[in-house]
Amino acid sequence: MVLAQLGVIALAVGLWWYLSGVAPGSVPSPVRTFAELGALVGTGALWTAVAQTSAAWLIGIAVCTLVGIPAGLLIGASRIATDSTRLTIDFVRNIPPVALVPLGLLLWGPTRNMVLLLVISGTIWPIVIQSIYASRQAEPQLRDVARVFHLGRRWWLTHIFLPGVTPFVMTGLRVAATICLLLTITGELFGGAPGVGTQIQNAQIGNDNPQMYAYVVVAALLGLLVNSLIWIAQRRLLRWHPSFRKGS
Amino acid sequence: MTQVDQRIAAPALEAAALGHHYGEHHVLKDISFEVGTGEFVCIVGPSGVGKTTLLRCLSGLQDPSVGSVRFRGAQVAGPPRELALVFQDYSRSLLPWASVLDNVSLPLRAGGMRKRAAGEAARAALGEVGLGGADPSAYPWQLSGGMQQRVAIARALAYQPSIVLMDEPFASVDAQTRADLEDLVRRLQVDLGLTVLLVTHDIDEAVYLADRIVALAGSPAGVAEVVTVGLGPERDQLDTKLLPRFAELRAHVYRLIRGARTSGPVTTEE
Repeated sequence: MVLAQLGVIALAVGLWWYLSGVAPGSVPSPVRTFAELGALVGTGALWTAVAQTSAAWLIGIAVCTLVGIPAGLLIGASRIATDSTRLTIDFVRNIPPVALVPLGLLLWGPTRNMVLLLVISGTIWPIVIQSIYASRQAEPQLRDVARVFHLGRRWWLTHIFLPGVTPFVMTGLRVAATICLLLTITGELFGGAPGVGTQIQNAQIGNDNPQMYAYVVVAALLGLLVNSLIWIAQRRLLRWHPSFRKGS
Repeated sequence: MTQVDQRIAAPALEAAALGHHYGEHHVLKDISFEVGTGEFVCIVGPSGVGKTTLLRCLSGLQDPSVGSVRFRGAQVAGPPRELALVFQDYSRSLLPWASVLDNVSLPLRAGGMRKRAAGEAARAALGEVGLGGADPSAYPWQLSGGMQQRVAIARALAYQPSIVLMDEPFASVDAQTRADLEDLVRRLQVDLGLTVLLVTHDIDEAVYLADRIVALAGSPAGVAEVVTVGLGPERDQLDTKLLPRFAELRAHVYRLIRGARTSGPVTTEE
């Protein structure tokens, strides 16, 4: 498995190498890119950009989690609410978040608020939709268990309902976390708010291709990090779930 | 005789002219019977006859459309505190995210018991059902089907009910496990003086376990007959089932269920 994975990585780097040979003007070689990245690691600019992007990401995903999960669970708890909101949610979530950049710029200029508008408008939907599903999928038999054994609202909520919806919600969260990072960087790139996205843009304007690619690699590594963190959280929270079970 | 009188004086659970329909579809009709305190009653009927609906009505999970259910003389509206239920499908009634111990102790903790006391009570209940040696921190799905149903029975016992209702509790385990669980439930009922009402489609199981059998038949289902088993308190998987009385009862119940089901124009067979 590890060997196959290394093989795929080697293939991807090989392709990159080949492309840098074909169009050396627009694609720097992996070696040059990583040399540039190595040089950037020693500078404050890289870490400032990473910190700014991470902060925007964190605020974005936090707001979406705190608003999206309760909203989705509440909507999903009622058949009527689910059916009556479906069309509106499907409409709103298909508006490309980038279309909100002009509005954000008009309201706040090239700032974090502008980025957050973009980020939240795109990130919240997978969380809301997965939470609606989660709520609807809740095992009806466990409702009977709660009633027969007189668990009461609080115990039902904390020991039956919430653990039951966690698998679906976590899936939404994992998708949303990646979207959130992509939109943060997109917002910075198009809107000029400070962060990794702006650095990509600046390097491009300055015609510094290796640096631009180095920042693209930074963005990808951030994405990898985010995904791994959520994956670890998921595995810890869902030890009991069929997809993570050991020794069943 | 005195025993019978006592039972009539204080029935644990009564169904009075109970009927149920889903829209135009009539499932149960005019069902009346009672379960005496300390008695083991089996409700037996063919699959799809409405046994689960009946059990849901009897446990207070569902209101019957017609008639009423009384628990110790009081009208049932919602599950009574002294009633516990063992569901048919343990994989959907045990919490997969909670350990065996937490599954059993949860109702106690929700009832206000301290964590430690609830844990001890849960361990005692697990010992009672023969899981004393099992790892209480295991998840239910790490255990075999039979052991999972034992956990579900332990959860019911730990809750300290006076009556336990069971909905086809052994339907999804293998024959040997089934026999073991039947003997377990029978022993617990006698040892703890429980009242047990068990629903099954298996006639042998009903005859083997019950003091009395409520045979359901027809559509909508009604009580074909309430059969007194009279095999005594001691039962044995081999000896009891070899008794002439056992064979007689089994044939009788079989005819009750089948006869009424094929009533109407198709009664020429046999």
